Amino acid sequence: MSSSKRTKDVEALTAELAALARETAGSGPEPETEELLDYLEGRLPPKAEAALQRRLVASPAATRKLLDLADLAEARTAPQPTAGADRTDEPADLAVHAAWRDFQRRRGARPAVSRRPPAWLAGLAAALLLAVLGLGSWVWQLESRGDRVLANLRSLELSEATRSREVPALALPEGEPLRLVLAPPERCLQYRAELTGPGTRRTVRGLELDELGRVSLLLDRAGPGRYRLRLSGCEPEREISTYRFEIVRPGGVTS
Amino acid sequence: MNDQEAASASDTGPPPRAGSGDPGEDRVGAAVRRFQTARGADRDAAFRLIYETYFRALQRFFARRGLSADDALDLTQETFLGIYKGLETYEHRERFAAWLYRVATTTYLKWRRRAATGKRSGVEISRDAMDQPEAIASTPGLQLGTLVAEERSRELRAAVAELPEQMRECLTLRLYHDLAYREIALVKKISVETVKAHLFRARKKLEERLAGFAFGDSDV
Repeated sequence: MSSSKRTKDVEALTAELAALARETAGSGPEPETEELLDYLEGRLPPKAEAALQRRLVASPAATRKLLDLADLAEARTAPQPTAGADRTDEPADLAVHAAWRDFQRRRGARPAVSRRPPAWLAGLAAALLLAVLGLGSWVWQLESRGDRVLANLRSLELSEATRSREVPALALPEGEPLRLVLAPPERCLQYRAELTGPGTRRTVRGLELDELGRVSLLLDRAGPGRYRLRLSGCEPEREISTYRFEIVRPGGVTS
Repeated sequence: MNDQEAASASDTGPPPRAGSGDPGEDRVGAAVRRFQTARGADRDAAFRLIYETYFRALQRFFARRGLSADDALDLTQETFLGIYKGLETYEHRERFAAWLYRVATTTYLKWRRRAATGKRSGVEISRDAMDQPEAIASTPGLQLGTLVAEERSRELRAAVAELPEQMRECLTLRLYHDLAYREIALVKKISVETVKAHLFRARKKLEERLAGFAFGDSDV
């Protein structure tokens, strides 16, 4: 809701409501964080709860703090089926996964070693040092590549503008995954994406909007050619939008 | 953000001491303890669980403050760096959500202080704008309009005062706080359906009581 589009009457009404709310709540300090958490958890006595509710209605800052705390508290109890798991095949987790990789880089952490070698292996390890160094270098290269692909994943944003007239093309090296970012014109609880392209037909269900109102999905091993993505959703399910895009190989031609 | 909030969030440490932690030992509580005791891969896995649990909520925390997607992501990462540093000595004195809120708020305030430099000209413009109402009020041709507005304001005040408390509070949260139905329901601890019913009735009552009063389609 945009307040700039409100009529003068509604603006005046809002001012009256705000004034009356402040009058009803009386003056007092802003609620403490712990008090707000108690309110959310239903731990306040009825009288204190009613008083706090009046203060919330009078104070947008306190209300915003309550909503922030509720969001954090909800996150704790929400199901996290992929937590800690290395599941890059789930489109919905892709952003979090990439962010985690980025976070690790920012923290400057090296990939953790899960087990230290027993003491009796120390001599043997010394003897194998050169071989280990060679192998380590190879592993490091592989891991660096993994990080690059996940964190700096190529993205293709398909917006309303690209729906009908233009067919955006992206140069994608062979073997690299691609993140498709859609901005659906209609808000639904969940979406279903049907992707058709050269030699591929794939359906992804259960896609949800992120906090920016976008839907992301991962396309791995996409061959060159033209693709069509049909997005459907809402209740009853209906087609929301169709997007087209093209993948070309760098320096190559479309098949 | 008010001064008190700013003051309380001005420092994330020292972390809380042991005592009244969250009830029970859920997966987050277990992850916090594992992070504090384990080393290497176990420690990373424990923190990753915390990261994945709170990543979206913290991103929304910053997005709600009007930050761009890039800035929101950047501050989310910065907040997690603060959490990583502070978690080792976190002692469960206050609830984990309260501690996270404090770290996020501190990160946001630091960012705002950095962003505030070089924006003084904006303040000057605001002051000029504040001078304008006085000038308008002293213009004779506009005084009639002011009287009409005052009369309308009196009518509105009376109509608002007549609304039942629950209905009025829902309307206040909708119009003054700009909240969604779901958020109003959370603040008021009532169902979304009840919120919608209150707003529908409030709208009807006000439109009946005040001649020519019209809400916009997206107002309530």
